[in-house]
Amino acid sequence: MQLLEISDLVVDHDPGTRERLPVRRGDVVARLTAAGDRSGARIAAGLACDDAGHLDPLAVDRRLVAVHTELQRLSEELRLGDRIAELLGPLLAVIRAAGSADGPLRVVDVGCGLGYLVRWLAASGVLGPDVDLVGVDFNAALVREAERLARAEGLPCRFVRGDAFALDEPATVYVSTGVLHHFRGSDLDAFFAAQATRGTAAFCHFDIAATGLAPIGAWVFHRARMRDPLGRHDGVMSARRAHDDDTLLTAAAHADGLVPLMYEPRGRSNPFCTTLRPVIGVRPELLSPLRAALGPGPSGRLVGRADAEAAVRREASAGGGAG
Amino acid sequence: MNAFLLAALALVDAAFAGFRAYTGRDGRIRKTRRALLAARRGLAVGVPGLLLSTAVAVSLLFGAADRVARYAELDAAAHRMLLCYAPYAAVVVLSLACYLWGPFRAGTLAVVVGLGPLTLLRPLVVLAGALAAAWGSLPAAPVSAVAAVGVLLVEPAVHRRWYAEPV
Ligand SMILES: C[S@@+](CC[C@H](N)C(=O)[O-])C[C@H]1O[C@@H](n2cnc3c(N)ncnc32)[C@H](O)[C@@H]1O
Repeated sequence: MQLLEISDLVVDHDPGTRERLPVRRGDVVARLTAAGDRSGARIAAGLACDDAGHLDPLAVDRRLVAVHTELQRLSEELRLGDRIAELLGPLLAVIRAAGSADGPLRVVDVGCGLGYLVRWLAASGVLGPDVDLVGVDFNAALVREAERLARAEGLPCRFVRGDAFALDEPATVYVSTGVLHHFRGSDLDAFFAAQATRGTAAFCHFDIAATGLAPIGAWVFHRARMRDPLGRHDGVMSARRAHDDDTLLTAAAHADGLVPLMYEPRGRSNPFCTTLRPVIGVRPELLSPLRAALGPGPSGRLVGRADAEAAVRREASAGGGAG
Repeated sequence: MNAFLLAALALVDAAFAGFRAYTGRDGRIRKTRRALLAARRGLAVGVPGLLLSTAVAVSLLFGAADRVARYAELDAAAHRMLLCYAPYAAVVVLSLACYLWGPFRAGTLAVVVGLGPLTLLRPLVVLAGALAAAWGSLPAAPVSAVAAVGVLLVEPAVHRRWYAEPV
């Protein structure tokens, strides 16, 4: 059975022009029905549409903004900001020390939604004043709302519309939260490949840890914390669609020149304490300084494929011998 | 004493219900002041319910032929209600302490196994307390029913009145 999220189906864009395309409600309902998702089809059937059967784009935007605002509560409760800062802090320190960034350091959140992560980092200032914080999302309504919220609090960050597969925003570190499970197969490979630009020192993408507990936990949590049935539906689907560690490591290897690693993979973390965990990619020369910066405990939770790590060690020792 | 403890619990619960009615509606990062306002709104909505159940209890007390016996009966009912709520409240306090003061991994644990499921269980616990109070005591039934309905209505009422849309 295909697992679909309603929010992925109700907005469509021309990938070339990024122009919004009309979406027929009947098509959304038909796709969900064909996937055997009757409750999803019922929710979609209740969405407002015009006489021609096209979804009302303003109503869809309002609904998505409301759902994402509820979704932010989960990021707050699961202390996503702290979780990411625990890794980004040492990572940026290592990048600074290596002098491997050309120009100012930039952290770009891909698929930022309402930009909670970027705004939290801006509000807390944990990464330091020399870091530009940018959020990118394909959805114009979410980007507008993220920008409005940032201005309302005078936060030093910005938000732009952009496509994860054709990134206009260069970054020292690309990050994301809750985005990876939206992409599958070759799209997932392409997502990582798009980030292997010359200026990229690392990426760090957090998504739901694919454990047996995740769908049950997601059901309980979305039931308890979210009111909108669309948000509840998509939240549970997200957990069911979450990629396992192996899939992520394989896909992340498509980012040329960056060594793929999992932080807190299955078996090295308590599923009750780690509901989201990241797949990381770093330039090979940053790997051992990063391990040192993280310290012995956290560094032990950073696991790559044996062959990839061995290649990094060989390259490092060859480099050391030549020098 | 039992009645006072229950009233205190109901007020704390109303403040939390107000807070919950607000959560998920404000996308800003710094919002302690607004969260406290929501908790006050919860209290404001919770107090009339509490007063109403108190009024029902007082009228039942003064309407009784034997006030001493009626008082003892209502007090015993309040005690049974409290026995239902105390363990729940203790687990909530423990989870909250872990969430607020623990490292973030402990915070996640507190949310995943504590606060999240506890929110789902809350209506059942409220009803269980009301049933326990009414068990074998007809006069306690209307008091506990009014109190339970009052407690359960705070969150939807605050949400509907102030937070129906994102703020
Ligand atoms: C589940 S939401 C996560 C939002 C946010 N990161 C969070 O944690 O709340 C997934 C986001 O990815 C965005 N998205 C999906 N495909 C995208 C693409 N090709 N380029 C940019 N953003 C995309 C969606 O618009 C949506 O905001």
